[in-house]
Amino acid sequence: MKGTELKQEDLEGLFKRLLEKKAVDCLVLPHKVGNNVAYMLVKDGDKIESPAASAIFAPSFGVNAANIVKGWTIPERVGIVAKPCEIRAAIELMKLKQMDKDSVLLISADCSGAFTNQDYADHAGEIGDWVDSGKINELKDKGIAIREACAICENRLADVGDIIIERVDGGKVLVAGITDMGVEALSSTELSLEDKDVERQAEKEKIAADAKKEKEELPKLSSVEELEEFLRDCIGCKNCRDMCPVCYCKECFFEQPLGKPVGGDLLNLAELRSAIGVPTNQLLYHLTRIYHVCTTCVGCGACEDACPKNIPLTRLYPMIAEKVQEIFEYEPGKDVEEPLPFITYEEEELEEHLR
Amino acid sequence: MGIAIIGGGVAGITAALDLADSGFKVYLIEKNAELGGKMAELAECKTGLSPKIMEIENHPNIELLLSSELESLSGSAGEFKLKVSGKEIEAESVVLAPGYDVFDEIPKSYAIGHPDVVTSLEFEGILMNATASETGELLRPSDGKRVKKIGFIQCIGSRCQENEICSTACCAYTAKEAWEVKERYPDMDIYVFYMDIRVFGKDEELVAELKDKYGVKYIRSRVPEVMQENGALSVKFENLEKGAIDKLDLDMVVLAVGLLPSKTLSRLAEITGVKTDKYGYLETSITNPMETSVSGVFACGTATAPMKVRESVAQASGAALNAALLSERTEMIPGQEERKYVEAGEELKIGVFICGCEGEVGKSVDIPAVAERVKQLKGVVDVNSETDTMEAAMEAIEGGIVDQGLNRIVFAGYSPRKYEDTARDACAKAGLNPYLLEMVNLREQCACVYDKGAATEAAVDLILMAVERARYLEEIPVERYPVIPKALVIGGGVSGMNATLGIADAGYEVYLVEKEPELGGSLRENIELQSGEKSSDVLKEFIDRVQSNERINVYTNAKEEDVTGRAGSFKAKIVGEGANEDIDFGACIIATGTNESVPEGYYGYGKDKNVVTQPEFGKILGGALSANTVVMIQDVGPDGGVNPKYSSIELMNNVLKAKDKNPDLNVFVLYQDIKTYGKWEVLYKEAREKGVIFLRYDKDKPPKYEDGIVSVHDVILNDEIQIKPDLVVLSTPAMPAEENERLSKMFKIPLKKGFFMEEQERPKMVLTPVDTVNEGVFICGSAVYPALIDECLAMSSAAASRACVLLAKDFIETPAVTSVVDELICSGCGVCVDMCPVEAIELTEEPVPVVTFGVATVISGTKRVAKVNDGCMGCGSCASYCPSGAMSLKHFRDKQVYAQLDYAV
Amino acid sequence: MEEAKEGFEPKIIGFTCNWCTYAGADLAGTSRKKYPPNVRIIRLMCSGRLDPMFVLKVLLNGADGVFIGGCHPGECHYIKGNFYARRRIAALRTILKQFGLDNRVRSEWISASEGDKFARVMKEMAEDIKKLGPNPMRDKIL
Ligand SMILES: Cc1cc2nc3c(=O)[nH]c(=O)nc-3n(C[C@H](O)[C@H](O)[C@H](O)COP(=O)(O)OP(=O)(O)OC[C@H]3O[C@@H](n4cnc5c(N)ncnc54)[C@H](O)[C@@H]3O)c2cc1C
Ligand code: SF4
Ligand code: SF4
Ligand code: SF4
Ligand code: SF4
Ligand code: SF4
Ligand code: FES
Repeated sequence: MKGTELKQEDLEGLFKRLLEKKAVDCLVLPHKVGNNVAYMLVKDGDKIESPAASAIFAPSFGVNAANIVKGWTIPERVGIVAKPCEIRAAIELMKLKQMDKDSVLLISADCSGAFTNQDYADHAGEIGDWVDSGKINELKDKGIAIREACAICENRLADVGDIIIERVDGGKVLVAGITDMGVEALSSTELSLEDKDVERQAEKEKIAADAKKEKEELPKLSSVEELEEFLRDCIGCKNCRDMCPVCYCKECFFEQPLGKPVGGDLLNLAELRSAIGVPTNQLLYHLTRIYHVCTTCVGCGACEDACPKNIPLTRLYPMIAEKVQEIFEYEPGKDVEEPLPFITYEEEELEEHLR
Repeated sequence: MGIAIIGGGVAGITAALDLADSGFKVYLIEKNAELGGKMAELAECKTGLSPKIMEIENHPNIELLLSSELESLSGSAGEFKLKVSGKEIEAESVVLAPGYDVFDEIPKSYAIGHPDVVTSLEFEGILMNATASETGELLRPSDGKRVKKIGFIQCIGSRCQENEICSTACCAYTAKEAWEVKERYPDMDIYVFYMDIRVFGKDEELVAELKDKYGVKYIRSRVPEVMQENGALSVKFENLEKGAIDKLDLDMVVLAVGLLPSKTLSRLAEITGVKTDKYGYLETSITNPMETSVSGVFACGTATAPMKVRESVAQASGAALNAALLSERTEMIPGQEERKYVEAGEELKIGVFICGCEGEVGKSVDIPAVAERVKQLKGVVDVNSETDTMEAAMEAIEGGIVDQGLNRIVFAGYSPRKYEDTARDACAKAGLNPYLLEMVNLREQCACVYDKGAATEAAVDLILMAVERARYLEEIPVERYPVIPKALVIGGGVSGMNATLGIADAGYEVYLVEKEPELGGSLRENIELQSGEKSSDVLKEFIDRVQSNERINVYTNAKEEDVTGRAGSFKAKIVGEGANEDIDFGACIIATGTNESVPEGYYGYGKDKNVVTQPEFGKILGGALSANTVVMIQDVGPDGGVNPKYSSIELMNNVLKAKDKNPDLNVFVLYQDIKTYGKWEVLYKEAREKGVIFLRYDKDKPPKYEDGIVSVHDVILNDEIQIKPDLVVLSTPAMPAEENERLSKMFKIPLKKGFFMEEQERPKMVLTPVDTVNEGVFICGSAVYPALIDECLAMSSAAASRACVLLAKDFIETPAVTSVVDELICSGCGVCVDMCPVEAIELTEEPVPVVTFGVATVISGTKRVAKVNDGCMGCGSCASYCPSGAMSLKHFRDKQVYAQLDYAV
Repeated sequence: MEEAKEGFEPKIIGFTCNWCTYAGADLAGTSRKKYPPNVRIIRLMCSGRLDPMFVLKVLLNGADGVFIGGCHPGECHYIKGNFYARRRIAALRTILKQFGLDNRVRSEWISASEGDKFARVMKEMAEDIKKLGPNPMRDKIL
């Protein structure tokens, strides 16, 4: 891995140079909006605020950035600076051709675990620009908890995309290119790069172990009746789908006549089943959506954030998707070149899962 | 005029359909009152055959003469006159397919007469009845007690004094029967008493499975004797594994009886003047396996030698082609007429037709009650439950469409697998788009398997589901494209050349592609065939005929690439030395043969010049033979090949020649199974008579060759034997041609162990031995399994015949059940593209219209949309992936399946 | 094992491919191999056409069991259909497992000549599902 160490305050200079040197034509970057953090799409480097680092590492999650660049199928290159789960979603979307590999430069930055953006806004002062595990626990005791998706996230450290930004002690960052495209982009900014070890194996293992413990403590759904109860308040608004980065359909099945029957179709169904719940297909929608995203779900929790009824969807989507990913030994967002599980197969496999 | 076919068994039926389907007038003459021959006595086979029988009965080009016998034949090829039960027929050629009879002079030593000792043919019936019975138990005929131990004795009436040849089929059919029993009654103890297991190709796997997985005990034994004491059965036999006499108590004994020439054969030979061989079979030669001694009279099936269905069917198709070449096409080819369909209209008029299926359905389904229930469904304007046969039902459907303007048909009765084409045809004839038909499988999947009451309930459910689905069925335009009257043949061995000649003689142009610099394939190795002919002489004749035929374009040092298209209209490239040509063709035949395996390193082969392969030994025999002691070892060589069917025959042939040259020669043959099929059994007998010593070794204890000494553990003597040979001769497996992998991918034809797979594989019979899953692509010769030359020739004539049936057509309908994309919904993810097994989907890209801002012009993206091309085979894999349902498979659209699902529960 | 629920007749929906399992079911019929009358077969051309959504839908409709049958791996009429199907079914059952519905779904490779296997699987399924009892989603207002 080719990289270099910078002071945190040098990051904005780096981003500017990426634009100036045409390594990218534009950048999607987080910036501070009052107490909150949001994304902007920057064409002109002068608009990059300082300190950039505080917005980049701020533990706040709004939309999944991959969702913003979904549909980036133009030759102009966009750079995205985002959290690892967002970058992983972007990689899945590349496999699904919803953005062009060569047109998107992916830059992942370390994440400490995030709060929903409204929690963050409400407590920005207390939370600050970065939280460590001690701080997280301290805040939790005060009733300010990081998102469940983040608590169970095993891959918070930047290790995906083309470029990674690691936080290093002493107000520094390590910036490294981990793909040819990333190294090329960094080189174009005239940084002198050297071989760097970016593994952080021990740290990663600890995070994963903690996350696993958290996961175990989450309440589990174990029957379909429990699922029904879990989704009791769902109003079928489909916000969870709209905010999900890997739900990529131009027109979701559940917007079409078969998935969303209206009028006479609805009446027919009611006649057939004697009575149906309306809006109908709630359970079918969620189960189907789980199936549709089961290999690509990156566990970002955007669906849960989006739910107006506060249904803790993290306990549904990522928790189940993980099980499916396990049987295919597939990690979404790890490598653009790795084929989607449903496209490939082995001649002999999976028989134990069929009956 | 036309072609007369004598015998209405599977061979006669196959020949008749091939000919009639390509526009020849056919007279099918059968002495019984029904078609089907012996196959009709076997449960599973009968059902495989019945759609074909129905096709024959309804074929406009076939005149069926049942309960009829040939009384005389006069005239000659091109102008035969036949008298058939008083009727005069004129024919240009004649095909004899009178079949076989089973051995019936079973010696007393088998306790024949005891009710629990039955022949294999009788056992088929017993098994059939057992599974149809209330309890499904297999009961002893004598006392009705459950059978727990059953013994099969092979080679009854074969390889014996009364009938010295091997019946070829018994080993395989015994394996099949044992398998059927084990599948139904897993706890049954099964013993098979045998001398050698002579199975090849796929049956080899079956036997291995029986032994390893099913626990069937195969006992190599001699002269079993069946004894009865107070009605109890037991078998006494010489156990050749232990070299001891053993006895075993059994509940039931099945005698695997051999095949003999049909009893009518000698009379038929007399009438037609064709010669028979010393065993009473019609005489043919290995280089002309379907030609009899009378020109214009052809023979096929078990009338020429004992064989299995697959070989019979291959010969039958081959004989059909030979007969066709002497005849004139006078008839129309069915299904070629242009059809006009009426608009189905907005308002649903569903007609439900419930057929009794010759009383089968009525046995357990209360048809009137079902009809009453179905009548109440919305949109159902007519329910007809009067018909009891397929013919009557089809008439009723046609009537309903024409008279009542029905625009959706639900036909409940026979399985759609067998009769969907027929039923669609009936709709089409009446002017209704054939895809507005939905079939309900009342017979096989309801009445036959459920008891009364439950069956009626199930019938209602199934019809409800079908009616609901029928509401959502859509007309699918039926389009046609012209057939290109040319063929591509891949591989220039004898099989390829023979197929090429057949097609060219039938009047079509052929491209023959051979990757080597010259034609000839394996036969270029100059060998002497079993018949004594030199392979070079045989080859020369073929090559001369190929090269002098102006309809044949030969490409050597060339390969075919980039195949696209489908039956009737393919495209490809021929590339190679001096060739780079785009060709188009309607049919393709793959005849890539096999590769010899080199047993490098086995028994010092390659280093020790005294170790040679069987073909090399064949060449040595061309000159002087100096050796005094020869050891031959069978089944030697690398894994990954298969045991060629000619292996033991080639060995015997060489052994006998060597003995002729040097009568004092000591020959030891170390073997596992001697497989001298059919008439070649006499070679084995002769070899033994001439003092050749056969020593059987165990697979786990192969012979060793060290310091010039061969040592082998003889199973029968249970002792180590040492021989000091001058020459060691190895028989090796055959390897699939290395081109097969590539061709398999290009033509989408699956391989098994590297050899091409037939369209449909059934353990008991292969009815389409040269057809593949890719319609219009045929396989033959050793590319299917390493076969004997006469079989290769029969198969290649068959492939040519099947190709000609296709090429004779003017038009073919495009497949209707294919996928389509809703472009508005497709998000262009391309997953379906990667998934399609035949690369029938492309992702198209176009820029999305330009948006102009004051300063810059940008495009807002690339619109990617999947498009299905006409290669689609209609599997639906793509549609099942596509999450939004942008991709859908016609006739199996989400809404059509949903409709069924909604009514299923 | 729990005893079979008294008087409960499960509804099993079977999805079969046309070339193998449907033919196997036909063979069970022609050779009169009886099996419990619980299954309703839906014919697809290939197991590759099985959209797991069909299974979800029919389970939510209240089906007590779902059977999926295809050609043996490597023998699909369309070469790869059942390989894809196998992955989809494995994923689907993994999802259903979380809700205790996975053992209501069973898939088997049954060839055209395995009429006995078809009958046996139907019998086993009927028994297994009787033990499980009715689908909890039966008669729910969804
Ligand atoms: C050593 C040996 C001894 C035998 N002895 C006997 C015997 O005694 N009696 C008997 O009955 N049978 C015997 N056989 C078997 C007999 O020779 C074969 O069964 C028969 O020749 C097979 O004919 P074929 O046309 O199917 O294959 P082949 O003769 O092998 O012809 C296949 C041809 O296809 C060509 N080809 C392969 N791939 C391509 C491609 N992609 N494009 C173009 N061309 C291609 C090959 O080069 C070859 O020329 C023997 C076989 C061998 C090898
Ligand atoms: S399902 Fe939820 S957690 Fe998974 S990727 Fe979509 S939004 Fe993120
Ligand atoms: S739920 Fe399924 S159909 Fe709907 S958008 Fe997501 S992936 Fe597409
Ligand atoms: S966002 Fe919440 S309420 Fe809306 S559909 Fe999803 S789960 Fe239901
Ligand atoms: S048809 Fe469906 S699967 Fe195919 S590219 Fe379009 S959205 Fe993707
Ligand atoms: S239905 Fe099958 S063959 Fe046709 S395009 Fe789809 S995947 Fe390809
Ligand atoms: S056709 Fe049977 S699984 Fe594909």
